[in-house]
Amino acid sequence: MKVAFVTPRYGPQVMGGAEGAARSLAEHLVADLGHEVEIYTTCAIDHLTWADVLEPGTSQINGVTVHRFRSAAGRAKEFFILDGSIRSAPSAVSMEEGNRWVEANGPVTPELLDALEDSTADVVAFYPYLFYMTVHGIDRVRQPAVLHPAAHDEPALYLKPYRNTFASADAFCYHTRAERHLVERVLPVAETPQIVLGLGTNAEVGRGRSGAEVLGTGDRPYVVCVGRVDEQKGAVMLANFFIEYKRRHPSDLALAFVGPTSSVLPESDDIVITGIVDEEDKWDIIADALVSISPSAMESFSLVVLEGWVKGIPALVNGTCGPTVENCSLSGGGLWFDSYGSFEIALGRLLADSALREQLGAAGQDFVRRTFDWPVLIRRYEAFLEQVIARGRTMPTTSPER
Amino acid sequence: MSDAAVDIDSVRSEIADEVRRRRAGGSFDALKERELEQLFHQYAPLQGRDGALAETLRAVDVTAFIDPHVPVASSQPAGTAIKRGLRKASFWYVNWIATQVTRALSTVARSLHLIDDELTDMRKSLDGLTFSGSPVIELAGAEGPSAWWAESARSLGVQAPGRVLVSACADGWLVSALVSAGVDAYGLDPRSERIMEAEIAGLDLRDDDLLDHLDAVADDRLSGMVLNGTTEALLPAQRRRLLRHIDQVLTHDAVVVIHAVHPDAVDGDDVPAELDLAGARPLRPITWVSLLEDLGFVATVELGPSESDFLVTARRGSPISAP
Repeated sequence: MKVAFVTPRYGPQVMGGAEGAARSLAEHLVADLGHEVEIYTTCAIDHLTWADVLEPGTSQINGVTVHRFRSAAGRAKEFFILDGSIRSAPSAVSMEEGNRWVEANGPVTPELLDALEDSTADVVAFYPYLFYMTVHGIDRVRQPAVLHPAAHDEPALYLKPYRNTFASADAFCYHTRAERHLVERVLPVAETPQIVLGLGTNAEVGRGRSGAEVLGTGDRPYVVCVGRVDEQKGAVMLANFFIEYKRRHPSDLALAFVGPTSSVLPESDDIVITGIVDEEDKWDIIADALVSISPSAMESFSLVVLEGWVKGIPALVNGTCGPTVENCSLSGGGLWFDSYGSFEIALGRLLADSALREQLGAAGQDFVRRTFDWPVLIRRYEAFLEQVIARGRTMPTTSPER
Repeated sequence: MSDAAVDIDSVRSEIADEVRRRRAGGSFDALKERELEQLFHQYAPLQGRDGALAETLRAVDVTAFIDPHVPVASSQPAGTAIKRGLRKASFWYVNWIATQVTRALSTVARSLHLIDDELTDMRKSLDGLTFSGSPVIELAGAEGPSAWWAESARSLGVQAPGRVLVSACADGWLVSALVSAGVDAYGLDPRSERIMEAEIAGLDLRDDDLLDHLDAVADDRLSGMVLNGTTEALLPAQRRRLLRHIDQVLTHDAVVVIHAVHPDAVDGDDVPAELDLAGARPLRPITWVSLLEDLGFVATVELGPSESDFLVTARRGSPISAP
């Protein structure tokens, strides 16, 4: 089987998110099952600008063939103004305005789309739904198209151009049931073949150092938030919640943000921001955390919550985020908050009750082993793709060859 | 490590009680809490989890207040002092504008709360007439691959030219049989524990309610529908909704299979309690034939061996051919 993935960024420099998930699937298809995988992507690393920084052309990364193309345009300067204007009533925005939003969001990749039409893959997987290459590519491919939406309840999902994007998919691969329910609530695509797959967790590769040693925080106990330090991911909210928590409950507890930084957080002696760290340091930090916090309301899965559970660390997640709440609820591995009040009480309860932490962490650990173990997960994905290929291209395309 | 599982709902309930107790006791700083709530809701989902109107209204309340105290922090050396001066000089103006806007937004927020109250009252009234979801009615001995109607359903499903939906699919036995016969079939069953194993094994099964699912299916996208154990407990409004969906989502040559409890058998001990609790009465087979004929189907009826249940098979546009 030959599989093509279409994704806006690709490579070890890209941490987490949909692009990281695409890379994990691609590499496991190659390494575990011996399939041929090629990637159609850009030369960008930075999701805020989509600036071309990597060389265009074809290369190999961990056995996966990567085709990189320059973008005709990155994120437009007027994007954030346009984005602000569509936020209040996105479903009322015209098709023309919606298309303008897609282009302004970038990256605009006509060369990539031309090359994709010539792909000899048996199936093309688009990951995620949000970007130009998916919107304009999914109805141009001749092969069966799988859409990994990685959808959140965000204004863009309600924009008109995405109706065609979802309608052109031959199958969906969802991270969670909550994501599927969200998509089906917004778009009439419930009959389309689908799988709720989730993501596999990476092997833990810590160096065995104490987390505090990696963080340089001495003997201080800490809670951890792994992922992009971004206002839209709830990082600023969490920092403010934590500062208020510490003001009301003085102690030597610290909060460690672990991940690339794209927003400024309020300064505090109790907050440590590591920036990008390697996998070994990340796992060492997670291992000694008291609680793993996911403040983002906009997650379609949140692998970092699962990584906490791999180490038996309980989770505390944003209660408005359906997928992370679903995983906490299914696993019994975490709690969620929907206000500062519930954050304060839930965090206080977790910190004060080590038995509760252990029980939640153990339940999460068991859940990850049963559900998101890579050998199980990648076989399910393989069988799903084989079914999609057997079913063939069922949705109308605009390809001139059809 | 302890092996005991934590009752998450119970812990969350205790947390919610503690939040209420502390709020009532004035433990939280209301202004600070409002500021933090604004941060929390800034990037919260559009409709909140499960589309909760109350959550959205809470966000409206939080954002209705326009703060006239413009931030003065600056990265430039004299920036803060300059900004503070400007703020002081223009405060009377900004405050006047902010007051007007806050007043207007508060009026809008109040009207939304009144609408929410009205909707809540209406929902309570409607709750007395209906209930969410449609329970599965499973007749003892009439389920699974050895059931008397299984082969008829399978052989008709095989004649469907496209995608086939099986409701109350349980462990996916019929979906699996159809897929093995080359049919593009998938299943629904709200009893998630029943589908889990087959779902992980690769069948397209979902733990969804039939009517909610059909609400999200595009027109003319299904070629067949096997409605097993999902029509008996429908109330009149839900049944009308189902018929509308049968008409709209099925193609012109689609097939329909209905396996249901016979109304003459509802007083028998074999019929599950869910049917009593639903307060609905199953339709007679002849009524289904008539309803389907109104939608352009040609239908036939087969009674089960004990006459406790029946099978209606129908094709749109032309009679069913022999298998």
